[in-house]
Amino acid sequence: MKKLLEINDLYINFKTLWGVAKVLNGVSFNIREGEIFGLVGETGCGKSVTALSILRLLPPNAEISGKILFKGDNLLEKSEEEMRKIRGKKISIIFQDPMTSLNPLFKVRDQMLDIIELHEGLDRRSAEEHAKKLLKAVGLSDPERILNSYPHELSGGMRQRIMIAMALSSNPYLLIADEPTTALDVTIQKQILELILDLRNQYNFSVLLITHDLGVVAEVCDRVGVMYAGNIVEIAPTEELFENPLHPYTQGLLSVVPDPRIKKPLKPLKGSVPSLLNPPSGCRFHPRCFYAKGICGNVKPELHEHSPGHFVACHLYGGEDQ
Amino acid sequence: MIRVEHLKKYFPITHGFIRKKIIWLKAVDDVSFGIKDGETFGLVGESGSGKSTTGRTLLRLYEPTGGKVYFNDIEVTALSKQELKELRPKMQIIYQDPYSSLNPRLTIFEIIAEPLREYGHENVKETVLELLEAVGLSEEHAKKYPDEISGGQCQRVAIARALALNPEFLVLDEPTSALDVSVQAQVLNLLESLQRERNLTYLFISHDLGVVRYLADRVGVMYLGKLVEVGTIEQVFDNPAHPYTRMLLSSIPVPDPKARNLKRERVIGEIPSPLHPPSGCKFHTRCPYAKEICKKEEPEMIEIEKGHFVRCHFVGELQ
Amino acid sequence: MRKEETIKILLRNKLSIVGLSIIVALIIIAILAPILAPYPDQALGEPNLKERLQPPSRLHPFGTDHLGRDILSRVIYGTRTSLIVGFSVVFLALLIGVPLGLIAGYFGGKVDLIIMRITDIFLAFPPLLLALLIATTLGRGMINAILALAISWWPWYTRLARGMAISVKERPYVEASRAMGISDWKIMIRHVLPNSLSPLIVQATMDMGSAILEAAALSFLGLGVQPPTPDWGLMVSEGKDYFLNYWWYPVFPGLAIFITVMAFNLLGDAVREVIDPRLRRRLL
Repeated sequence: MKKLLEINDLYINFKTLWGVAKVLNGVSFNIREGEIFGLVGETGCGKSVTALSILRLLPPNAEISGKILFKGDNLLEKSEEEMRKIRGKKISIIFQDPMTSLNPLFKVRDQMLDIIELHEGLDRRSAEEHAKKLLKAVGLSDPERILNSYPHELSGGMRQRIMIAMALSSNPYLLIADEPTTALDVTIQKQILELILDLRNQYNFSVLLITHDLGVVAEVCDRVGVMYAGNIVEIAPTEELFENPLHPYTQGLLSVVPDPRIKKPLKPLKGSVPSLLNPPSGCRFHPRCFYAKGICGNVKPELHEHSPGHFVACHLYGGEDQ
Repeated sequence: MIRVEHLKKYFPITHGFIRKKIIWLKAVDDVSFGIKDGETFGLVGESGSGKSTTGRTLLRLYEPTGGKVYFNDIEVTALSKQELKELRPKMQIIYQDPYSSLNPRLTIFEIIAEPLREYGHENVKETVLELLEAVGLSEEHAKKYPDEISGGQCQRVAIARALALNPEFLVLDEPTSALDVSVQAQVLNLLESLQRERNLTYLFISHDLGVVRYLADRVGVMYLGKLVEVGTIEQVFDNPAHPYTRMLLSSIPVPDPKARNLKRERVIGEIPSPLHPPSGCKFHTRCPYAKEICKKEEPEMIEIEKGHFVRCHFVGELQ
Repeated sequence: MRKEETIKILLRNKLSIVGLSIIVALIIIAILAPILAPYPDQALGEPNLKERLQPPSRLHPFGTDHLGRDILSRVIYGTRTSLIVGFSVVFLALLIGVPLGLIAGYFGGKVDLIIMRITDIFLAFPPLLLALLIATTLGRGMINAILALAISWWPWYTRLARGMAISVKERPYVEASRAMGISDWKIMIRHVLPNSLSPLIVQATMDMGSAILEAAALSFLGLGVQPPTPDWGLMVSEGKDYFLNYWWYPVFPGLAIFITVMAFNLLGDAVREVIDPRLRRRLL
């Protein structure tokens, strides 16, 4: 499978009132064509920032360095004009709360058709046909009624389906989904995840799925990247990650997810997520790590291929030649 | 310890512009269950299920529209305002959003001290520090304001405040849903140890079945204001009898990629609006097994095995 | 951390620095008026007929008025009147309006209905008419002007306070206190009031400027401060007849009004940046 998106050594700092927040500390991973890549981590680990940086949607006080290669082109070097041609067309994004992504003052028809006309250059009537086809494809059986409704008249699940339809309207190569089901009820969440899976199987686009929920990752993702405090600490195919987690943080994370099938003791990690204004030196996880040794506080471990396809950034696995 | 009998809470919603009509939102519609001393009863459901409203109505934070609630055989629903105030210390509540459950203008010390001062406690300072320690915080947190501490710490403060009056019963309304998974584990462990040490009884309200499995002894499943299944954790989770319970259980994303391929219950449809609930059995619009009778008649709660109740016309016939 | 943060936020906007500085300067001027004014007696009213209507010069940087009094000194002393009026009107209005609004919002029902109807009545009353009424019954002067303005002002604060009370009373920490058996009045004072203050403080800050403006209008019409008290509005009123040939007479006090009101508006914006948690959290 060819690489569609390649992120190399992405560093992002934010200038704030209280100092410089070092939000991304050298993030590297890639997404292949047609795969669903999960980016999982807790609040503040930098997963949403990573997603926004791909589309260059970060606020002006962000300092970015590194490379984001999309089909070989570095997105960080493109002009705003060029990025606009990519957003929504080649790379689309859907967010957590469909209510705030849709304008409550306009009917769905106006919002969808505007976008389709803009991206595809179609006239109103063809755009409407296209919209109806899309709405059917995302499982909405009465497209006419949906188009005539206002967002608040529809349920959360329906709105998220509309967002997916809009995101896929110009056949993008990559769909970024930032916590797409977090705000939805569990039975609806299942339907949306299945929908994303089905659509991917049909149209073969790639998905960058951002979530904090390991269950979601296990359900839909092909490969997973685990993030902690601005770093990717482990990347592996999904089954491999769950069966053989290498990084102490991944192990910790897996051990605290409650499983509805069986009651198991939850052994939480000590401490808490560090402040990004003043992060720990070396490996950012070392103050909480049971296995930390001297080098961990001094040298930041790099991602190293431990077994085929399974990468980990940890001194336990002899990443650097010391 | 707690007996809930035919509890109802309806909210009037005025509809229409010129000729105002009142529609009743039946948030809690004839709910009955009991909680034993020292046990954790889980109440699960999705949006519109009425689980949070049940918790609050039980404590008379909302006045019930109908039904009775008993606490240690005292009829809570019949008490006067003064009698209720005397009972309040025994029943407390913890909320979902840690930050909004604490007054942002008060220090942690003042927040925990408030109930102590209200009930004429002596040695307020000592007790506050003891409570902080009991929830895993220290004296230096006492001087801070809620926006200076983390969500997990706020939740601990809320727990400390709830414990200040030595309650016997706690309503926990999604106490960990707003927390990261590792912080959630810390708080759950804290709740568990506090329950053991102080012999507390919990009503644990949540949409997260994994967490409910961890803490609860028995569980009730709610859908659009009604209890559809009640039983022990093993009964309800390992042998779900109601179609909704099954749908719910098979929807939860399980943190195990191998579980993907197991054949599970289909998930159909949207949750209907609680303002316009379906007729008969409220679940019939999404039930793969629905028949004619389900549209017309509301099923009764039937005990299918000891302690395991299900509200369905075809109880025991579904496999 | 919070105090440091507050100062940083106050100072991050150039305009708010301007507003803040002007207000601070005005306060200093008001306090030190006797020292700063070159002709304090003239400021307080003593005429100097020999130097009537002199244009701005080294001796009289703002010129003199129709009684020969130094306008600069009178403007400096006028700062006192203005600040006192601005502050008093707002303070009184808050004192009346906020408790009424909180009670209406928190208790709702009949209490709310009655209070809001009373508020509506007062809101409909034109401030000028009220001032005239009070002037006719109680007489003219600064205190009555303050009274008149405060009475027409309080309903706005009642509305604001009521809106805040309605939203704050739904918050979990209020419900938690009820669950602990705390009485409604204690909840209102300890929980609802402090958390309802934010928009009130911002509004009150800006209103001080508006109050000064309205008081000046009253003085202009002869209903407020009476001569010979040095008051900007009064000076503009007395000076308007001389505007064509002796422009400095109404212009300098008018400028003083303008700068003061604008400073309060800028200060109000700065205060809003500090208080509103969403604006406060902006990264830059």
